[in-house]
Amino acid sequence: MRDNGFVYLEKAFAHQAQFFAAVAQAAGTLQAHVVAVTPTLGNDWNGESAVFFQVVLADGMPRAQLLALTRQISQSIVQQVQPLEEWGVLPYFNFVTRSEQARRSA
Amino acid sequence: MAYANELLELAQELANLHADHPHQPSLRRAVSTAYYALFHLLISEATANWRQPELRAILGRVFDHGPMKQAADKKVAELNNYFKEKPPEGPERTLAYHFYNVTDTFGQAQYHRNEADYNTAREWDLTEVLLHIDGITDAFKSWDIIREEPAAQAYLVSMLPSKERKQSERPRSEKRPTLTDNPRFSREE
Repeated sequence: MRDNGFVYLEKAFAHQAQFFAAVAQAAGTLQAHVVAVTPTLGNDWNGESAVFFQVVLADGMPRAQLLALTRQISQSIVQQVQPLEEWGVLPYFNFVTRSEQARRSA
Repeated sequence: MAYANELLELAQELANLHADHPHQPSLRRAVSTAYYALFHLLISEATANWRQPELRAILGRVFDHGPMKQAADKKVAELNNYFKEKPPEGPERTLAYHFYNVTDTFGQAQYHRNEADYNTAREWDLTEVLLHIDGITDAFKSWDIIREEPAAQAYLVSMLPSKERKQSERPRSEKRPTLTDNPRFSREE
């Protein structure tokens, strides 16, 4: 039987180019410690539409400063992009240092 | 709260079991245990309001991951709207910051816990695992600051499963129809 029910796409999925541009613009304002910010759209473990930010940090940051730095980065991205309010996707953050990322891709 | 604190200590120990090389099972268990520390902290704080201590553990079993995540997401969205208005420095903003720290950390920690427990393709590094544990330790401190606030107590109640609290409560961007949308053939006809 054909299902003609409504299927909705969140704005971030329907307008991916604009969404990624908004993320890139926000990433451009971040501190020098941020090497790269890569957003990936998908669904979280509860099935909710989500964006997963992989943030690559420069090496050499003391552990004592890492938490504050990552909080600043995630809050800055959330406040500038407003993933949930403007684009309908829940934001999740993964932080990795450049050397760790290089080791994983080796 | 004692159990939650013990879990947090255990998470730290697990992460450092093989500190010289990334031992995936230990790192995964550390991420998962750190999440459960915050999960049990919030539940124990909610059930502590029950007068008879011997019934608190039973009451605690009512709480579940999904409704707790929904409550956290809803509060984070509310606080995002509050911060968007750029409120002035002061006690209210400080409390809102700590509230945000608890609820946002909970949502992130639950996601990472699922990743650690079920996504075996993902590799973990000690630095990021310690970062997760530090974040949850910091959320513990934030909770200690706000725990007596009426809004914090209301939040604990909001974590309870409820038929009225559905996913539709989640703030969403404007819905956009897709190619499969055809109101002429909707099921209501």
